[in-house]
Amino acid sequence: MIFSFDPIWLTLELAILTTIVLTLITIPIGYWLSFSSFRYRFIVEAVLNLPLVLPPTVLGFYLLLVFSPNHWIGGWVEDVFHFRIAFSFFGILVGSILFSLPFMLQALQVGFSSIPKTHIETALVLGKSKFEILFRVILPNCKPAILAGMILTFAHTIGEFGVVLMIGGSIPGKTKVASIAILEEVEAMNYHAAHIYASVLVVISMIVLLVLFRYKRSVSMVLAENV
Amino acid sequence: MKNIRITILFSLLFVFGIFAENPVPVKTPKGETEIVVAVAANFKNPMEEIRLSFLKQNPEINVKLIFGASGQLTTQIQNGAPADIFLSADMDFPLALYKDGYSLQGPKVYAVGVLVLLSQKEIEKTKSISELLSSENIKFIAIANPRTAPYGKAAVEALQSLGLYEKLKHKFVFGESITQVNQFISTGSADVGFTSFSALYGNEDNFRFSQQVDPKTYSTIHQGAIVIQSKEPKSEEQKIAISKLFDYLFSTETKSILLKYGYKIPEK
Repeated sequence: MIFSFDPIWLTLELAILTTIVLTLITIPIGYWLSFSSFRYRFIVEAVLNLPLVLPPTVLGFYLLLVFSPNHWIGGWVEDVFHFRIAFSFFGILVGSILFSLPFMLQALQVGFSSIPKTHIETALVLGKSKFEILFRVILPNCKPAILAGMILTFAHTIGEFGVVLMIGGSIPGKTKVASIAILEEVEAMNYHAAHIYASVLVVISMIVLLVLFRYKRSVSMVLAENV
Repeated sequence: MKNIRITILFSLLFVFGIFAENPVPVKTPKGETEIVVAVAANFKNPMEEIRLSFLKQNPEINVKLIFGASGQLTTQIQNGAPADIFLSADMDFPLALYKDGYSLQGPKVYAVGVLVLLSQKEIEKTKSISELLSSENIKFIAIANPRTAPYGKAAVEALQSLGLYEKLKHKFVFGESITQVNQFISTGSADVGFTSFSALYGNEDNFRFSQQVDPKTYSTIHQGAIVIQSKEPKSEEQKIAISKLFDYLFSTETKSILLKYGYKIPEK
């Protein structure tokens, strides 16, 4: 019976970082998708939502190919930074970000589309810049949507396993997250240890979700819209 | 309005979901018996060939194959997975099943695995394994999880007896099974990896370098097979079919397939 808190911390670290990075990058993407008049917007949308369709292990396998030194991207990173993305925390972070991107994006777009056009038009007439409109009008009105997206991303990453399995290499303290630890314990028939990891995960996630749902009734509205 | 649409959509999905869960029983032609064999991932290719040559002799028996990591298959069998025969990558898992009463007889060795070091890169074959693994160009060494995968256990043993394990610990990346190790190696994300010799068969383009690990450095990989006792009573035809296939695993036809795929024949 080998139990260590490392995988749990690693999972939380991964979930928190994924959530922060995704929030930062999906706001501009979602804003552009919701308000631009670009003709081929739907193509961009389809591509960004591909991770919803691909099984995580397949997404992980493609990433493994891209991160490998034989691929021009992986090779370039290796030559310039002397760093291999596969088998690193950075690698599983990239994987988790791509994997949860559609969830965050969907939640944001629901929020953006719920803002009455008149608000935005009024702001435009008053001579506000697009930037100002985003920060003064749109985002304040989308708080529940952003939060819902963050919850979805966080929860999604906690349970994520396929992508990490493919590109992580189960290195203790680096890429061996709780979901991988659980799999390994189950395969080694240490059900007891697997139960412990699983219950710790469930308790932590439950606390996070309870806190959020307790204080944000509106979040559940957005989540319901999302379904 | 939107909510109503969503409700309808979900009830439809739910209803179809139920049908998907309960497929219509597969109708087998008259006189055909179906048996299910759970097979360790490393034995996939030879088993598919064994199945075909078995079918030539016994066209009335329909053999279905399930593949996975030995540990995972063991867990599934303990939880009622419908397998009639289990071909593990080691002796421990089938032995555990036998001790728990899932089988009337202990495991029998059907193949002996060969541990090999593979790489996607072209590496000179002149170096010793120690020299090769210690070199600076080798950043990552892929190993199957030694706790659940027999080939991983053998790799760790070999590294320990060569006195490299502690020294190279920072280079190890672990695959969940031998299949994953093969992916790590063939994509080039890991520079070298320890896997089963059979991985090389038919994939020579993916692995430009191969070197067998000295068999003296690790305990022999005995792969064991057992017949699983199911809870539901089996028909006479099924029992006959199962024992036919089990015996076939030790036939001369199977032996030639084993050799072809880089396994050794178990000694009597």
